[in-house]
Amino acid sequence: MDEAIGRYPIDRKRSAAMPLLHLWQEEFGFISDEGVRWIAEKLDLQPINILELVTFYPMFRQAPAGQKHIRVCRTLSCAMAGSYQLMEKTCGAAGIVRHHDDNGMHNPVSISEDGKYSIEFVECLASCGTAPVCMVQDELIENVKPEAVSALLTDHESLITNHHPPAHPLEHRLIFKNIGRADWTPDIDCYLRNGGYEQLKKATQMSRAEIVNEVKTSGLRGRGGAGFPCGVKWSFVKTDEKKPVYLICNADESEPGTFKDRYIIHDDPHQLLEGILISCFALNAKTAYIYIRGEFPEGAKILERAIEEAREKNFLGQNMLGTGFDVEIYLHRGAGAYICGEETGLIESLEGKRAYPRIKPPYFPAVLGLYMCPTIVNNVETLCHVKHIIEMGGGTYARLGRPNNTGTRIVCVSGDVQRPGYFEIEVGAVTMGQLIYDMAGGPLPGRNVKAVIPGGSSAKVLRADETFKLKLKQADGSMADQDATLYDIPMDFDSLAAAGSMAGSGGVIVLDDSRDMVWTLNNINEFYAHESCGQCTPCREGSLWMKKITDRMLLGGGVVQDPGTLKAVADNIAGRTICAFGEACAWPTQSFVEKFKDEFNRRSQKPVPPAMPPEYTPGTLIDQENISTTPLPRNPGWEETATAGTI
Amino acid sequence: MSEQVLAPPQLVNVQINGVWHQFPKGTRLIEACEKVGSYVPRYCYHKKLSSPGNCRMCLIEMGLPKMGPERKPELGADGMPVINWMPRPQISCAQDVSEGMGVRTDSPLAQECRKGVMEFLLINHPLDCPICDQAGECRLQEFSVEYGYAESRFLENKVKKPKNIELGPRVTLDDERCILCSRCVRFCQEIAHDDVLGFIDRGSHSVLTAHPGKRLENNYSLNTVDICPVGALTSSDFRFQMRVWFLKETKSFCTSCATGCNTIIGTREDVIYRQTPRENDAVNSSWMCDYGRLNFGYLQSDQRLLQPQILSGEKLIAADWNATIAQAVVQLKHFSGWEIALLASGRMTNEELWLTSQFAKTLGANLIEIVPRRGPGDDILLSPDRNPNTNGARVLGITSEPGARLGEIVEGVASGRIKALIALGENPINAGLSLDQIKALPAFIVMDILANEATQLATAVLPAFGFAESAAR
Amino acid sequence: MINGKGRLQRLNRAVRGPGQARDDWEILRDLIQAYSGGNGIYSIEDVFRQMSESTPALADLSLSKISDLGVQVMEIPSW
Repeated sequence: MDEAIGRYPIDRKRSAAMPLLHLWQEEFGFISDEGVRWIAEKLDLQPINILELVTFYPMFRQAPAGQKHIRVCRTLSCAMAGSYQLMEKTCGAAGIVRHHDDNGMHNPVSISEDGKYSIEFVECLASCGTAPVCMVQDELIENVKPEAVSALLTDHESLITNHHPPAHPLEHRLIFKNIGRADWTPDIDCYLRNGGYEQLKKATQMSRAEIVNEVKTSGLRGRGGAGFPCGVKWSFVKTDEKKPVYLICNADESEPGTFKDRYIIHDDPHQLLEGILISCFALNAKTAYIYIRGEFPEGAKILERAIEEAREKNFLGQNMLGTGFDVEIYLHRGAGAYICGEETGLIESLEGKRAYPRIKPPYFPAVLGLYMCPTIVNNVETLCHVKHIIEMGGGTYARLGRPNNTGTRIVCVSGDVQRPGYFEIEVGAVTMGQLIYDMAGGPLPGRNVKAVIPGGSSAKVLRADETFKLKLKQADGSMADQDATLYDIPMDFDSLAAAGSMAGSGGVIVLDDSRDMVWTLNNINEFYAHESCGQCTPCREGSLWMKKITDRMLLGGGVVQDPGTLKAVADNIAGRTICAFGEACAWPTQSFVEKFKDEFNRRSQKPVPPAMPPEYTPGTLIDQENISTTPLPRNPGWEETATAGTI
Repeated sequence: MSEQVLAPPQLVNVQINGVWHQFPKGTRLIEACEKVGSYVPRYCYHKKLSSPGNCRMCLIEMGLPKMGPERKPELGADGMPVINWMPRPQISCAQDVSEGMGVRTDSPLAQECRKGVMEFLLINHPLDCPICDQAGECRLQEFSVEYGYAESRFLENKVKKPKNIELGPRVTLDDERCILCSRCVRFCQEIAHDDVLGFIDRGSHSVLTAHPGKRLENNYSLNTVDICPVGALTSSDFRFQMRVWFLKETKSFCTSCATGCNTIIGTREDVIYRQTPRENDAVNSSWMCDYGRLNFGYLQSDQRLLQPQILSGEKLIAADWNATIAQAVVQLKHFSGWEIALLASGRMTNEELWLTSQFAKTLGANLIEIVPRRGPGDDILLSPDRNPNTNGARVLGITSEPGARLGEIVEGVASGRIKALIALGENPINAGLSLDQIKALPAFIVMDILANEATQLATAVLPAFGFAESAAR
Repeated sequence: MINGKGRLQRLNRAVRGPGQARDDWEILRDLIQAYSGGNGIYSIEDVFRQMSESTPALADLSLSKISDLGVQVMEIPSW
């Protein structure tokens, strides 16, 4: 525990709250009230500060779980692959009676009678390509078939697969070059044998300005979802900055449909470390934190080991590679909150608080970030690209992909396709059609693609039969406006934005004609209702409201006004919130309701319930609803006041 | 191109609803709007606390000067910057004014934003108005009138949360009414330095609470009730006592310690129901301590002295004022000045203290002292001097050092030199005299509010007013 | 009253006194007058005026000049 506290500045012990909670839960199985008090005292905090965290992050339990704890993913791709049926079957096999806590926020943990098993639904585990997935203890079990349920309970290790398909010809493997190689292991020796850390050495020979310039020239855009130009972000940090500069690697991959950072972390961690170290050097950031989501416990171990290996070889630590530059990388584990993927939410979580994103202005991370010092937050993949930019030079990198949409990116395809999985492509070199049909094998036999969500569940949905006006490359090489189908859209940032959606995190979810769009939206809405941090009014109230509306529609209670109400609620959220979560939860509703009007109208047939009839008196209320009429303990004197006369 | 109209240094030009104004640098935008009459509705913003910007009620349309070449603002025909209006609304509570900023507080977009937020706040809010103490001073009610819809389109079940929780000895919490503005949390952290409140759970199920082992019991807990914009935090003392629109509000100040926090006393038909702090940046900012706030019950105690009384034989009998005053004077005229002592009070007003010194002069007496009252102070508001007017007593020459001459009075009474004691608002027991010594006094005139063991031994009793009853002074 | 920081502040009547109780200053005035005969004090403004005239710290003030927020009359060093 003291080691954990030592990872943060001396006057910032609060940051160690989450690591301490993890350690306590590993030791005792859950966080008791004693744990809350003990940790609070150790960190000079109030018990309420720790209780706030325990209840905010679903991975922390306040009651013991079963001996074997199973987490089943319920978010879109896994639900489409049958995770709800998986839950039913597993509960049946383990003898668990699930309780449905309608009023709770986190999906409740249900424990079997004999205490041997416990089970809960969790949100996206970032392995949508191998849906349905679940975690048993700390291991991820992929492609869980219905027949495998008993093995799941008794011998889950036997179900662990490690399937890495070979690269598709249309791919251009840069970051994922080593993923799936037969002769590849995640240790540092393998990495060094393959030319690892040469770019770090090269970077230390360059000046800081040179490195930042290379990144600017490369046109690298963030790969976490926002697509913000990385070089521009880096240039927000003043070169003569007096306060310590921090680099944070956002490894909180939680966007439904996205599962790329997982492989970098688990299979090629040193690539990430090298990217981080180069970036630290460029930004003069002496401390870097990797915020890894709590649901990657194996990944956390792998990264810790990798950091130690790198330290032994002096790639980090004091006087890195003899440059006189001291740099430390620390790991910080999250505990199950999607909002920690938002950069200021992440910073708040790293500071040991509830992950409430900060208002911008004034809290721009490059000015007032972690501990109110300049901070750069970059996605895992983005930082890996930095290494390759140093290797080939910014100019060469910029020739990959398309202008303003440079380099390569990893797209993840999941949902109703034959070969879901990850594909690294040159940005814009592959169209949606090629991606879905050639690379992912197209829809399942006998089915047709109905809709595609191109950039993680936050992106607006696109109908398979829509036409778009896009600037596309013509046969003679020029760019011209053209009517395009969904399949013509090149997989790059600008084209997808022009098509009315976004490239986002690269999580492509394919929906075929067997999918009910209201059901799909409901699944997405439930995700956002669970993950809303609750800080600002529109998202907090609106996300749950939208979920309740689609719940009711699915149960047959849809009224005529519902599509209009859904749209109005979403319109009142987007643009009015503190962080982009507002847009993230509003866009799916806006786009689904608008593009699939018939399906929503079909489920909204009932008239609005009538107003209360006049004979609805308090008497009937009391009789029927058992409202207590015991007198107040103290006579407030209303009768006397009334008779006392006028004022 | 016209010359740029520059504001004097330390002032910036801001356009609010089409009109250019000037404000000092560092003015919060929401305050600037209020100053010129464009009040922006808000929940989470409080002038004395940090701004989290989470209620989203103060969203307005904002614009910044359009920049031309060399980062200089483009100017319009009137010499003022041309404004680039941002399509996305901004909150006004967390930004300061800047040169050339433009604000629209009443545009259709701003109205839409408020209506939206209003609707969201009300969908899970319980229909508690008939039983909620906040009715009449509730921000949800106020802003609903302007920005709420008359009909609801929310058809679902509302989120249920704990109600009627005793958060502390003086504060009651109702979590369903809470709009999670976090004013109380910030107050406890920033002003009361007692970080005891926080939010647990997440999203729409977030709940305000204190850790089960702790309570909201610091000496400033009732300020959270003042700043809570809705009826989530209410005063247990005031619960169900009176509707606020019936209360007559009188400006006054607290007399429980030397700070003198400015207050508003809420009364109806000569009964005091509550005291609330009044903003005075020179004294108490916007707060007052619980001890002083609740220290008015004694004015309504059944130990109040109601009748002038004169000692007749062995008993005190009721008399009218003229007779009692005359009798007191008769008693006093028996003695010369050096046989009379006056026990004054640090709780008397300046006017009373001055008249006391005049009275002493008239009597030829010069042994006069106030009873000191000390208690633990904190570095927030509560003063260790629990007399509200020690300085008045000093300035008016009643005392140089509170309590310094009490020993003289006690010694004088004990030795028999002092034969007449006039106790003004103080119990001589607190000055160090014993009941026997008091009983032995030939003349003991009491002017006080409450009966006590000494008043029963008086030779004349003059019932007086408490601080809330005194005429304007 | 003058608070601990030297600020003169003003009370206002919020409720009527109970029973036969009377305002303190009136009782004291009546005692003075009964003891020695009139002293020219009939109203609270008279009291304030005479007090102000004889107390340097309160010079040039009147009841109506004391606003709702009070007025500083003493310099108190803050330790």
